Amino acid sequence: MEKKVTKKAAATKKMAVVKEVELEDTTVAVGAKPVKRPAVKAVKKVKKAAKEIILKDKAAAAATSPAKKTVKKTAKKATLDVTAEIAATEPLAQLSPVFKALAEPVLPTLERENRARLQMQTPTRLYFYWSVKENPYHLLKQTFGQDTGSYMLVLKLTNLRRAHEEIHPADAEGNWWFDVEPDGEYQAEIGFYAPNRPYFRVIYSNIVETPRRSPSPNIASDSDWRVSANKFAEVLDVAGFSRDAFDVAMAGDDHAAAENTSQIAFSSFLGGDYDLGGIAAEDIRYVMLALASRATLEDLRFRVSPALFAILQANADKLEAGRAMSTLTEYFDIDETEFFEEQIGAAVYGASLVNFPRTLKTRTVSSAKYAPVSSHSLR
Amino acid sequence: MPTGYFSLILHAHLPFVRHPEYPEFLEEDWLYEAITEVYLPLIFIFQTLHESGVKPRLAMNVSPPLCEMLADPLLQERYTGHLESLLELAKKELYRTQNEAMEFYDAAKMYVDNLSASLDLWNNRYKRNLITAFRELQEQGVIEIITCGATHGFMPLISTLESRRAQVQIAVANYKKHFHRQPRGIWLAECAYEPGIEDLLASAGIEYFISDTHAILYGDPRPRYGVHAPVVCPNGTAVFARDVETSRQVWSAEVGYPGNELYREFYRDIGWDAPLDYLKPYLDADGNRKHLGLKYHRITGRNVPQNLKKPYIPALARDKAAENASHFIGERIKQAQKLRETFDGHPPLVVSPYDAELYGHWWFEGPQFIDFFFKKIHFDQSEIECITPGDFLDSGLPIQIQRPTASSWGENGYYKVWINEANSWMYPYQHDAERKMTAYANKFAVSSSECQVPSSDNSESGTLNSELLVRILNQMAREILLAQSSDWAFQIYQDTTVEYSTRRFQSHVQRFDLLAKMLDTGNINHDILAEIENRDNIFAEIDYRIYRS
Repeated sequence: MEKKVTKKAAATKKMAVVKEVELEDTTVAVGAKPVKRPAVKAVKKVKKAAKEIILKDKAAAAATSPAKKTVKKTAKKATLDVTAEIAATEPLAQLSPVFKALAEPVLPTLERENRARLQMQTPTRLYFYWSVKENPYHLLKQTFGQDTGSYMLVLKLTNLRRAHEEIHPADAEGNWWFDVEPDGEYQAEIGFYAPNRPYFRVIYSNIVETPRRSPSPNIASDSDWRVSANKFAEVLDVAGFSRDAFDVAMAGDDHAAAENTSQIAFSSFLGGDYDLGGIAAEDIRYVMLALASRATLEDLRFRVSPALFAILQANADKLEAGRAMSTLTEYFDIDETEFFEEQIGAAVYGASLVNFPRTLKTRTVSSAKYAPVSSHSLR
Repeated sequence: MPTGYFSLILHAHLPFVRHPEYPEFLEEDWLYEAITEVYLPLIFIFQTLHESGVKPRLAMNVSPPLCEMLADPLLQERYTGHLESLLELAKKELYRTQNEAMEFYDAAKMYVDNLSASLDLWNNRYKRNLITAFRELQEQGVIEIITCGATHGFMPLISTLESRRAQVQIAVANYKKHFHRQPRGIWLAECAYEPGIEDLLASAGIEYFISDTHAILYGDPRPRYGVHAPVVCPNGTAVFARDVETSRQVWSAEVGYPGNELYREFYRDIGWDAPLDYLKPYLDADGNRKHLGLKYHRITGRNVPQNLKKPYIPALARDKAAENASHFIGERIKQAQKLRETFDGHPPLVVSPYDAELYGHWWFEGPQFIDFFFKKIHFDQSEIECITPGDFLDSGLPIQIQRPTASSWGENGYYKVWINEANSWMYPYQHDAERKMTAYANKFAVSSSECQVPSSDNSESGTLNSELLVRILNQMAREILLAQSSDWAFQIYQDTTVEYSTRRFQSHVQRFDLLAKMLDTGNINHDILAEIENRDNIFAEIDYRIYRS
């Protein structure tokens, strides 16, 4: 697999005009010639300050932002503080209590309350923060008396669609990042856990649904909008989503059969039975396609679900390109073809990092059954 | 009927940056530069095209914070000074280059011409208020102005229904204030969508929103025409999604038009090149160098060091902009033909959204590109018709019903840019304020002239007159809205202006807390209240009761 992921210099922020550029020769003046002071007398357009401007003192001005404790990266250049400059030139200016009160913002202390908030970052990653108002061990004792045994405070994440849970030791407040599966429904909670004893819930979060990372298997019921797999593959392809186009065409119209075939093929590929429940069939097919194209295990780390990656890790010695290709040929009738992925970097001029989908390209013409119909992305 | 439709959408937004407490403020330059380089040129181009009989047609989001800044007398006055100062420098440069550096004279003359024209437009034609100009363009049928979340809040990361609703309804109210009508569409900040948001939009009378590509392509059921036709949510709200090909062609930092060697180099600016003494009258009081907007070099080549950049030649760049516009249209025709063939004769719609600030600020020749684009579309071809999303809805073409999927247009397509290890610390504070705002709005549902609050030295008999109460609650609403701006989390992630963004977020949370404590204790500090109102004066029309559950 050729990766063409380009790490451009981070796109500069929208209108972030304070960015400094290091010139190789900073003595170069405007153009090729040094600028001489012009004869025209420069007159500074003095911007009038509001009469009531009140200046903060130098000490306050020099104080650093408290956010530095929590933000890893800080601006290379402070851009805020003109007050120190002004104060230096106008030493008689009076400092107002109001100005001082607002000069150095400090985040208020969050009151200790019951909080449990779950937020999606990506279809495979969730952020959870929580705090428990009362000492949770008091609650435990109220319920179980002194016999709290081996109970420990934990955070728990449940995939509500699969009744799958994961548990980690927790404090009464904190935050956590979870690796999860796309197309799931999750809830996090704080509670007490002890082996062989009832679980005791303290607080629980909102429910978060993670989206699919691939096209829906469902076809419109209205005949005006029905679309076959091959036709939809064309539609995806002309939209620039050629990787999805390829998979949709490969899976065909019988989604259930494709899922079953994908699981059987994958088990055959690895030579054993694996619990693939909850793992998207398109992820399984993508893994085999990528491996057939000589992708490494590491290439796949953040491109497939954590559960699938764990299976791959456990079978690292079996991930041979030839073996993957022959499995695809056997189960999906794919000829020997080389594929490679290409992605344009997210960097755009000026503003956000805009998402561009990965495109999947073939080096040789492949069979009509699965090949995405030609489009701009294949030219 | 044309072969296909094309919808250009420009998203004009800047965070609310206004610092009356300082005589000048570096980050206010964001607005001033955008007015000079983007908004004035685009308005002028659209107006001129319209008056000459060419019929440009596009949608444009003018975000509520931008509207509020453009309409603000203090910022209007400061911008006037900024523009006059820049023109003065440009005139000095004209003299200097004529005598000392003729290779830069053409560029210097261009700046004098452009800035003189801008000052004339600003002062005389638009009377220092660009809202009027945008409104006129809408009434003339040139642009369809859409709104945006009130402060560009990232909707999926707002924790309460009431706060999400407020982002929408306050935006609609602000739109009506400035544009005297109901908005048809909305630009969800960062195109961030999660299922359910459409219900908030529908209840505010919004007909459509803009999403990223995979919102539709991964939606349920499969979209018959992919991203090249809108879909409609089960509740009736239409969704128009971004076309990837046009984004890549224009915007990509790797392959986009703006990287052409003839175009103006952004980072080589007189503010960094000229001697400090020469520049001093045009810098802020701190004397620090900054971009001033006069740039004399062209890109020259992708890997050419800054000190080896060649002089900028405006005429060559203009020719290239015309060439790129022709190429862009040629590609659109080919794309439309291919899509129509794929769709068995159904006319495709290509939705092509960009940050407006690309055109003129980051890509200096961008406004020229747009000018050429609309002229060539009008005179040179008939296969592509430019329309707005509203026009499409009016066309009567059938639209598939679909449930879009959660998405954003940011890096990797979801929410990573706005919630990650660098900025996740913000959300407990933001969410806490959101919850409290609704609690206070419920508690102080003003129905009489006085409300009960805890007794204090500053309030008589434990009561607070309703006018003061409303002032405090309205200001709390403004503070939470400003804290919710997605710009702060974005800039922290991007490692640009981190300190300012962090400080802004902290300031609004702190001010919210100060005001809440006034309500809790009844101890009203009138000076602080007045100062906060003076600084964060966005949305004079706000009504905190929108936050009631």
